[in-house]
Amino acid sequence: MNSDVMDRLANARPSHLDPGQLLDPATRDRELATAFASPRAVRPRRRWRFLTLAVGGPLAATATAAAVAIAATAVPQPAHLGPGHPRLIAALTYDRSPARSPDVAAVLRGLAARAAAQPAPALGPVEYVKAVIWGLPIGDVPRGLDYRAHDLRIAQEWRGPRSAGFTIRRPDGQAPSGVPFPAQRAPTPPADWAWRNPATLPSGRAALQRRLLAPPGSAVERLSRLLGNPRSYPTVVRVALTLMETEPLPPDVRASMLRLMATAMARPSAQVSYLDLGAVTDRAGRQGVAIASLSRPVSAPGALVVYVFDRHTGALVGQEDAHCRALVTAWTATRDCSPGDYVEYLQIKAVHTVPHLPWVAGPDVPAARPPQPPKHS
Amino acid sequence: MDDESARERFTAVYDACRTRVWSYVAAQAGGQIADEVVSETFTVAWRRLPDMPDPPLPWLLGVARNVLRESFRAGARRDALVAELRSWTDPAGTDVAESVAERLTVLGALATLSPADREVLTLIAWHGLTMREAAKVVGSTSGALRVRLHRARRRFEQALSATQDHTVENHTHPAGRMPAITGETR
Repeated sequence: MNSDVMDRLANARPSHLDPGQLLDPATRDRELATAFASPRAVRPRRRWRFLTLAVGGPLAATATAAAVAIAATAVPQPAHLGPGHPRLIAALTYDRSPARSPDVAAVLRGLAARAAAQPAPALGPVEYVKAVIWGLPIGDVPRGLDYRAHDLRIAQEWRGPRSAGFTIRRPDGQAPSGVPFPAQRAPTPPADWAWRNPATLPSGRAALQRRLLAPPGSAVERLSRLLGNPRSYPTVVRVALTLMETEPLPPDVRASMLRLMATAMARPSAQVSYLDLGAVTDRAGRQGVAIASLSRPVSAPGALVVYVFDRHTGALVGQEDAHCRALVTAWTATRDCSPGDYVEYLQIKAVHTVPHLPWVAGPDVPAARPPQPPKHS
Repeated sequence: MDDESARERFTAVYDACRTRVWSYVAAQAGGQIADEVVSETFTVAWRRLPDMPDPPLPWLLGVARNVLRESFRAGARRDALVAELRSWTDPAGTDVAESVAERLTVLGALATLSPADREVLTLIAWHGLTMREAAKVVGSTSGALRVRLHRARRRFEQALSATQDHTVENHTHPAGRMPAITGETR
């Protein structure tokens, strides 16, 4: 190893990342005004205390992330895990045989048929999501801890028509280290509350697609706009999966969503390709069927996101992010991702409604006293 | 510190550091979401002005790192990063030069590394931070960062060797030039 490598890297820096570039005056004025509009702490806080921030901004920004708006920690600390927790992450296990012809659309249409036959869930007034995140800290490696040691977090979110909140805890009840917002309450619902309300989601495919592509004022909308063509079929898939992850959907809506995804995934896309991974057993030991999205063009290495569905209900039950160092193709994706390259598995434990928010002693009504400012580190 | 003094100090820090914070965020998660992250970063910095150390840059980059993780989920960060890395290796962009093949090789190799490796390498090589400053950004000790950098450089060298032929082969095929992304910042 020599410094030439770093010199080559320094010389290859894209020009738009040059720290010496000039700043647009209008941007400068806008950002300074935004900052100054925020209240300023008047004196240094004790280091262990959290910093006061407005709840609305962070929570609205994480609205589409639902219960999984996790600030990843760079501290591998599996010591709190009991003996029942494997120290190493076991990858999803697949039973796909290369002899089977992948057909993502057929899989999704099959799931849609089963979803349509499910009983309707109760809707409102408060939506509740619980998920377990099997994380893979990849920050500080040289601590004598296994590179593949995992970090479990339990995330819960409540969304009501007048307020919302979430908590993130380790299995032992402690706040995860490095997570500055282990609990948040907002005095208002998410900005896209009305848009994502499952009671008003249309079941007709055309109307549902229009709804998916027009999230008002949400993080999804902003990201869709920023990330290229907001009308693209991958956008339909991405938004549909987000809603399936966070909303108690009526059976006809879930079925329509799966059929929309089937249509979208069957279209050729310059951005993403989709793979049928067949039957899987996820990290929690649950059986399911999986499809994966893969960034194009397919070359070594690749980024793979695996979505696990309940084969009996069509519900999304998990999502795994993987980094593959081996060549990723329709056939090798199931075999050549080494466990160390898996990053995170989101196990969706519950998506349903509850009568009231846990911090409100009745239906979702404003608290008797004004919400206290949240504290952040 | 009265409000006017605070604003003066903050504005000076903003003018000195804003583009460097933007560059860091863009390198980690793409220019498409960098503006939003940077704006939130300086809003947090204003609220925490009494806590801001001198020099402020490593601290600001650490705030930006947290804002990025808190505000955008993994999938969104990954999508933005795909677009960013595509722009790095797009010769139709602003960096067309005779050294384009070298750039493609280097950036292609960089794109194959893990986010953690990519972050530590670019903090040093692109953002000009010292080992101690980079350690503050990623929340680690200087010694731990030194080990991380050593390993990252080794893997980068290996990736350079592996990418060299691949990049040259694809040089005449723009569609094949985009290296696959190894993942989002964590």
